[in-house]
Amino acid sequence: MTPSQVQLVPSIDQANRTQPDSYLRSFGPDASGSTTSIIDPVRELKDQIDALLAQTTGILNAQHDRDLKTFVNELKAPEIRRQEVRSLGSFRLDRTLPLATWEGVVEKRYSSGFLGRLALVDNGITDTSTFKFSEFDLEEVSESDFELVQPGATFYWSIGRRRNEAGTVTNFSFVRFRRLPRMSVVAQRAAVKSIETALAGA
Amino acid sequence: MLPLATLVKVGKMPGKELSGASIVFNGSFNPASLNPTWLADQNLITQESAEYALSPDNPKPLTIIPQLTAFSTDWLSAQINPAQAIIFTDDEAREVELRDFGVGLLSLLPETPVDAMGINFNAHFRIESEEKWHAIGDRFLPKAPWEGVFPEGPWRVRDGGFRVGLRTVTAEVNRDESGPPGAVRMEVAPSLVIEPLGLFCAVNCHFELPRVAGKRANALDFSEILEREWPLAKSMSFEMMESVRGGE
Repeated sequence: MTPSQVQLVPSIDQANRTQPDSYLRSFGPDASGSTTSIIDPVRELKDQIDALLAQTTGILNAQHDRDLKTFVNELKAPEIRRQEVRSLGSFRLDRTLPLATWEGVVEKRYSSGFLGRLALVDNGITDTSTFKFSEFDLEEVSESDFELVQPGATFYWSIGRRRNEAGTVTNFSFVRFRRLPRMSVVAQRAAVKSIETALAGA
Repeated sequence: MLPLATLVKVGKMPGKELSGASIVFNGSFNPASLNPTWLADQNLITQESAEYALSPDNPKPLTIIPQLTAFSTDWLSAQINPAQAIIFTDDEAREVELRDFGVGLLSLLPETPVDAMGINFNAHFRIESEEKWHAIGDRFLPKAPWEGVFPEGPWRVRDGGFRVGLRTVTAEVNRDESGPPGAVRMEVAPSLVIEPLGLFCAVNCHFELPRVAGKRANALDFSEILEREWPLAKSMSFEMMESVRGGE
C-alpha cells in the first residue's frame, strides 16, 4: 500500500474506547522493568486510581513496561518500602503455551472419573464436525470443580507447554469446567412457575 | 486420554512469545459490589480463587473501594470503575474462560446499562531475522515521507539508512449493516518486551449499541453479543496477526 492509499480515520472517541491503553499495560501482572525503586504505597495507589479514572480504558499487557520504569523513576515519595520489579529481558520468566484445546461435554459420570465428548477448539472456533471421546480421572480435575462434574456439563481440556521462571519446560494437561452464575431466586421461581403452567396445560 | 500422537498443533503461531486477552465493558457499574467474594458466591470464580485474590500473599494489587475494584486471581485480573469494567488474562489456555466469566458477569447484571464492549487480543512475536523485522516495519510505515518531516538534524541514522522508524501504527475498519455496530482496530508496533526483533500486535473488536428511543442498551444485550462474537473475534485476530507477521 502506498502512502496515498492510506486512509485517515476519525480519532477514537476517548470516552468510549474499549481498547488497550498504557495504564494497565504498565500496572498489570506482566508489567516489568529492571529497576528497583522507592515507592510510597499511598501515593502509588492514588496515582493508579487517578490514572484509571482519568483514562477510563485499559488492558493487561506487558508492551509498555518502559512506562512502568518511567512511572517508578518519576516518583519522589519518601522511602517507605522497596518494590522489586522483575526484568523480562529477552524472554518472559514464566509463560504458558497451549498447543491444543478441546471443548467437552460430560457424557457419563463414574465414581472415579467421567466420559467426555470432545470438539476441537481451533482459534476460538469450536469444530463440531467431528467428536472424540475420552475418559478422564477425577484426579485431573480441581477439587473446586468436582460438584460441576455432572452429565451435560461443559468442560475444557488444554494441553501444552509451560516454562517456569528457571527456564524449565514441562508439558501440561489441564481440565476445568465451565462456571455459570447461580440462578437467582427470582429466576428459579419463574422456572418453577413455567414448568407448573406447562404441566397444568398438558 | 487421547494418545498424543493423534494431536495436531493447532492455533500455535510460530514465534509467539506472549499473548493476552481482555474484555472491556463501558457502562455504569458499582465497583465495590463486584468483589471476589461476591463473584465466588455467584459461582463465577472458585472459592479458592477468591481467597487467593484477597490473600496478603498475593503479590498482585488488590483495591476495593467505592470508586474502584481491582483484583487478580491466579489467571484472571479485573479492574472495575463506575464507567468501565475490564477483565483480562495473560494465560492463553484460559482465554475461553475469560469469555465465560464475561458472559456470566453480564448475566448477573442484566439491567446494568452498557454502551460498548471491546474484545481484545494481543501478542508479542519474535521475528526470525532482522531483515524480515525491518520489512514488516517498512510495509506498514513507508519511511520516505517521514524523512521529509524530520529533515537533516542531530538525528541518529538507524539501520537501513533512515532516521525515522515505526513506533506504532493503528488501522481501523467499521462494520457494515450486516453485523453489530462497531469497528475493528489493529495496532502494530515493535515489541518493548521481546528484544531484539520483537513485534507487537493488538486487535480491538469494538461493539457499540446506540440508544433506542433514549433507552440505553444493557448487560444482557452485550452478553449475547459477547457469546456470539467471541469465536469470530478470536479467529479474525489470529488471521490478522498472521497476516502482519507473515507479510501475506
